[in-house]
Amino acid sequence: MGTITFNGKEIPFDEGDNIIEAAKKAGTEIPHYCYHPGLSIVAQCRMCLVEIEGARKLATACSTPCNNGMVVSSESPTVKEAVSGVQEFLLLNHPLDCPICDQAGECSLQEYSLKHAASDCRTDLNRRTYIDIDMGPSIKKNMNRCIHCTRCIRYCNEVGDIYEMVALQRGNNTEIVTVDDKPLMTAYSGGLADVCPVGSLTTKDFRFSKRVWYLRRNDSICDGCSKGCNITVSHEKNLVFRLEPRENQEINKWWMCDEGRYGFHFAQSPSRVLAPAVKGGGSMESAQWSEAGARFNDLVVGAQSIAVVASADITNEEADLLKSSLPKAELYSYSPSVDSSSEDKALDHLIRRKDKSPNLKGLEGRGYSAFSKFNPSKFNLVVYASGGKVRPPYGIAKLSETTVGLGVFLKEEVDGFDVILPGPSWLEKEGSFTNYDEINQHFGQAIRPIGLAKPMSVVLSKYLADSVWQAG
Amino acid sequence: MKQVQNAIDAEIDKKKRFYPNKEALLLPVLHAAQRAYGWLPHDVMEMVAKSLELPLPKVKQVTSFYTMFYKKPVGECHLQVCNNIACYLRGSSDVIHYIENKLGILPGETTKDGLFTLTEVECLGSCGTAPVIQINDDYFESVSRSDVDKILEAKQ
Repeated sequence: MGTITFNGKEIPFDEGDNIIEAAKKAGTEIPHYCYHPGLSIVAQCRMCLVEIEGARKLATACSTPCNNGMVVSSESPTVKEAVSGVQEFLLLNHPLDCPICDQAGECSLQEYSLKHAASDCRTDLNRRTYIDIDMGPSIKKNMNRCIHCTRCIRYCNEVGDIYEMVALQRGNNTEIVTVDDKPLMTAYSGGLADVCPVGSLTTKDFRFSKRVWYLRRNDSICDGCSKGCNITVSHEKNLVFRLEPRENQEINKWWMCDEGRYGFHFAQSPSRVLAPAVKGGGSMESAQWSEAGARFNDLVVGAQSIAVVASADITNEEADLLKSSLPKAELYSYSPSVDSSSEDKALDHLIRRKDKSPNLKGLEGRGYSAFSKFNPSKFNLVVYASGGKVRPPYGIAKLSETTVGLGVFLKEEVDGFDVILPGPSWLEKEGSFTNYDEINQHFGQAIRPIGLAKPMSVVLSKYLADSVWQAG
Repeated sequence: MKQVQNAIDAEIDKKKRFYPNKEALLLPVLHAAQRAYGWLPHDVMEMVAKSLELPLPKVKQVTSFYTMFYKKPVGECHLQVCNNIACYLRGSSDVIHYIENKLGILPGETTKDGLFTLTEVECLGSCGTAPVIQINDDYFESVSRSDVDKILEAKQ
């Protein structure tokens, strides 16, 4: 604890803060490329140079810890000249192809060029050029744009725990490659696009699909496993384009895995059932909401014994709602990889967990029993509620007399159901998930429900007769 | 290959107490391996990586950084001609062209008989006696065309 004088103002710092972090807390950004709070410090981009009173040379703010009483300037003429020089140097080989670069709009190089670089170019030297190269299943590399910050290499070593990515040669000829052109096989490769400060490493999933300034962003929680990583959903015109990790030191720090990152496509899959359907003469036929809703009510009213099987990707609020709306029903939770949260465990050193559903802990806390205890022959109506991420157990609809599907289903899964009432995926509703560590996290709605999907609260209150929920 | 492994092991044994960790030992061990084998093919780098328990990509990254580690075979007689400013002003370009013509190779190439490799290098730190050729571990200073003739003859 102490204070430093930064650009003439006294600002506080915490023990161990470097100058970049202290300035960030005081609301000033010191430009930087190679520094990332989650990675080791190498001080090689030289962009964060600052002047420290009493020091003979400019110092890099990333590698200089704050000392009580230090007088630092990031605005002095010497610093400005140095930073603008560094920026000019980094642009020597950069193609300046912003109009066709995916990073444009969220590119550090672009921002700092505007803020810190000279407006003209003093050289007409040839720029080194490379062709775009595939780096494994998720990443595409454009070496022309690279500024050799080596964040990607450190990310692989320190976060992904692989040593495939290296910088070969040196100086002007430095090239970031995987050794012997091996594909990058890590469960965290998507993060390379996040840490890359320029447009060199981009995910194949998002590449060329949208200019980032059109995207709107909402905070959310990943539904890929019981970890509950904090994420940002980027969407436009009710279509989701990508998920990115959001910093939360208690859960996922700065990172997320590829499975979660690319796991949202089911919600926009062409085979998702987007209209209510009822069984008619053997196969499913789409129906009006009123017709399907009435059929659902008839089945519930007429049933002797009801079971609710909730896949563990519905929200806590929905779980409560099912419990109170169908008071006679017995409650079961379903997760594909574990039977109960006691079987859950970490799959690696970082994030991924064995339980591939986001809310098993929440359902268990609400009195939902393990799926292994579910005996379908005991019930003549099964209500299967699905949030979409967890695929329903194979043949669930054929186990008992009648089955109602509530939520997100794909066309190939609905055979055997009596009624399908389409609901929103987790991107299209708000609610909360309880993660493996019993941290309850609320998330907001990112986009409107797709197709004719209706929230579970509307379906249950609108179509179920009052006598049903009063029966308890 | 057995000899190379022995050289690596011997170097590790000899030097490990002077270095803080295995990563720091990489440079001397790579030099030892290169002395034993002549250059550093994939297999030798793999051997070094295994002996030091380092990831192979790390070893490749280091060898690619330093020009003194040879990624392809070099001739028995490695002619390294300095072409920095002092040597250049004293006629090293002429020396290089003379060698090129005499041996029929360009810088970076090796003669077909595997005897000579020609390389242009950066400053060898002997500017007072420019131009300089380093042949394997020996310096030949104030070199002229006739000196080149003598040297090459002696080596053949």
